[in-house]
Amino acid sequence: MIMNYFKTIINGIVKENPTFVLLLGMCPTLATTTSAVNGLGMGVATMFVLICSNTFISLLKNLIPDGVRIPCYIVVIASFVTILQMVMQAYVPDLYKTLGIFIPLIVVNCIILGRAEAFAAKNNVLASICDGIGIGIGFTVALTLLGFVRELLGNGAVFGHQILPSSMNMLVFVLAPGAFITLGLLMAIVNSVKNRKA
Amino acid sequence: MAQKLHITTSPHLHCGDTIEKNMRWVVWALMPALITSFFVFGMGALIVTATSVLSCLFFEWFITRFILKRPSTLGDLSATITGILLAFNLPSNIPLYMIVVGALVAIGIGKMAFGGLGNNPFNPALVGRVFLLISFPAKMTSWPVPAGIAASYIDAETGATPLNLIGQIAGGNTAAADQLPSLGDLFIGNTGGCIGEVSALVLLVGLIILLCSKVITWHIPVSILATVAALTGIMWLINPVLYVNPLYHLCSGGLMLGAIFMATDYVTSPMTHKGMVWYGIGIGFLTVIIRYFGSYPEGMSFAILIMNAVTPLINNWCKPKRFGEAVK
Amino acid sequence: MKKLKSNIVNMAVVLTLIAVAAAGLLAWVNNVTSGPIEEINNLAIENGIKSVILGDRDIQFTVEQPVEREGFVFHNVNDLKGNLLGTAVESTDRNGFGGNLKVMVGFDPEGVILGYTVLEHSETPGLGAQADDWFRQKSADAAEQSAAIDVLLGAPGKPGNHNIIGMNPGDEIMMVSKDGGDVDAITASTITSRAFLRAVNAAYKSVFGYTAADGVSGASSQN
Repeated sequence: MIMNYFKTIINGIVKENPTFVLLLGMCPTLATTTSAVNGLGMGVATMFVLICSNTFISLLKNLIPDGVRIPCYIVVIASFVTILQMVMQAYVPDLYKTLGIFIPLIVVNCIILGRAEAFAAKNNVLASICDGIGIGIGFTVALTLLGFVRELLGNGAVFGHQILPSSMNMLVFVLAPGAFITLGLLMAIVNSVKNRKA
Repeated sequence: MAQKLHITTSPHLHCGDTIEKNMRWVVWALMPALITSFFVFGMGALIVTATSVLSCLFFEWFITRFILKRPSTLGDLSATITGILLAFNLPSNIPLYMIVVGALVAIGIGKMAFGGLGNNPFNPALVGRVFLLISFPAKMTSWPVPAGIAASYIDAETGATPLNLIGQIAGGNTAAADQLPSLGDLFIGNTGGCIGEVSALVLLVGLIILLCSKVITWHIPVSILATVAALTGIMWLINPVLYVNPLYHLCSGGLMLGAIFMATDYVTSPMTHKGMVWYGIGIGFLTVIIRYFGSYPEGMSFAILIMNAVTPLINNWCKPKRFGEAVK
Repeated sequence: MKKLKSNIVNMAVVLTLIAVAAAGLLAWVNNVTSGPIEEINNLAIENGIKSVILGDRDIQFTVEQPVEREGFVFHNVNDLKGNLLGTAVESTDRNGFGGNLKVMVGFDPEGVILGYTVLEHSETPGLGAQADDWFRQKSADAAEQSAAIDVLLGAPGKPGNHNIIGMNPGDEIMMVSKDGGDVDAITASTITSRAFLRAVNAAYKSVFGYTAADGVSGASSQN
């Protein structure tokens, strides 16, 4: 029983990693990962919304008639996103400033609606929470990794600490094309490691 | 047992054309421009070109040997040409490590990531150049002014290129027109710019070599140059104060270099003559638009990359008629 | 519990209930966080004004109500006795490389620039976007490097003057050196530099009425 929950979590991190395997939620993935801290912040923010929405949708799944399920899910998700936005604005204004527009956009992040529809609406509360944790961690790890690489190459810094001279910064990695290139290369590495194992 | 009957599959006749042979002609055609740039920018031009070629060859060898585990493709000279073309798109005073980064991107991301020669949708040298342009904009947009063979590598004097000035004039600063070099200087190559683009004259010599050796046909270069001349000519006729003489556009920047050597890359350009003409018109049009209205002074490399992306569509649209197919 | 049927009554009731519950929750969170949010927003404006007027100095100060006139916004900053410490002016130039460039510049009562901050810009990252730091940096003296390192990694920038803090646009010509002024433009970003200095000059002019740059008008400063 416990093993099953554990498996659900691991599944979200490795086998169904939302970024490297499912390729969901690409918009925040590419746009917010200009530094490792931003990636981490976005990942944790998404994980919070994901766990909360999974929990509530799983609780309410029998109360919600099929005909209005999508509007209901959206209302639940949007509420948690708005709460998150207000809390962040009040207590971590710096992170809120950098993530900016992408916090409200968590509402339409396909990972969250996707997990609500594919998992939370069909499973019990505990399993849904575990799924939220797993997928959330998978998303956070991927975003942090992406942010780490982009920050190192684009700003010569590791978690905000400058380690390379600024003349060596490759600006392209901070911009959008760098996000695509980094994501593509990381995905190639993940796949090649996976193939070697298999 | 000695084989009495020699059996092979088709083709039975071979014209003797190989990748290597074509590529060798391209290398020869590029030489006049390299020699000219040595006389204009000094040792810097040679150092940059050598570094670029060597690092391209190294990455090609490294990737085929250790990552793809395939037989070496160094012999087909395509990496050499990528190296020369990349160097031709750089200023002659660029720090060497940037060239190595550019070579890694050109070969690794521009070519090998797609499966090597023949599979790359974009011209590898241009991928490398645009990567460097966006990564190191300050270094990539301050061009040394011509200082002859004795030019110092390190303290090269930098100045505005003719294209910077053309952009400024179009922006309303008509005083910049006084700083424009004469058309003669522009044609021979006595202006600032990147290594391979300075002299329209020697690039045209390269074009003649390529045409005579039948490495390329006239369609792409001519349609690009004609489109640029026509568009800038129209703008010049409308307002000669803001928009300069089309000859300036033809002779300045990477237009000749791009039209002759980069846009004509076999892998990334359309296959039919009709397709080639449309492709050339597209490049010419985009170049003029970016030069006059874009935020970078030179639009050639972006224009070629954009049209590279459109090439599969053009190929699809300009399919040759099958032999014997009924004419509708 | 069996799943509710999708008839019109069920659907309307459930959706309404969920929406009402969500609204209630949000109202409560809003109530809790609105105080801190307002505080932080006020602090941000105050910090901006403080940094352009006071810099590192630690002085008690009060900010007067902002005054808006001809597209400029003025914040007068007084010390506790009511003496004018300086004026922070918000000024916008519409011809930056990527559009509007909005800066806040602090002048002392004589017109000496105390500080500035870029409030809004759409300049190229790595080029024009450096304006936020460039015009307050004292350029470092060229460090001695061996020629080999120069070739490999690039030569250090040449020393120049691009620190505008402490300059007075009424006495000094605040234009890029290319146009005959006293300030070195950001490397490869002359257009942004011109826009920035135009915004600073306009801010000065809006308070003091004239600038030294008025005398040196060339065609190039107009684009």
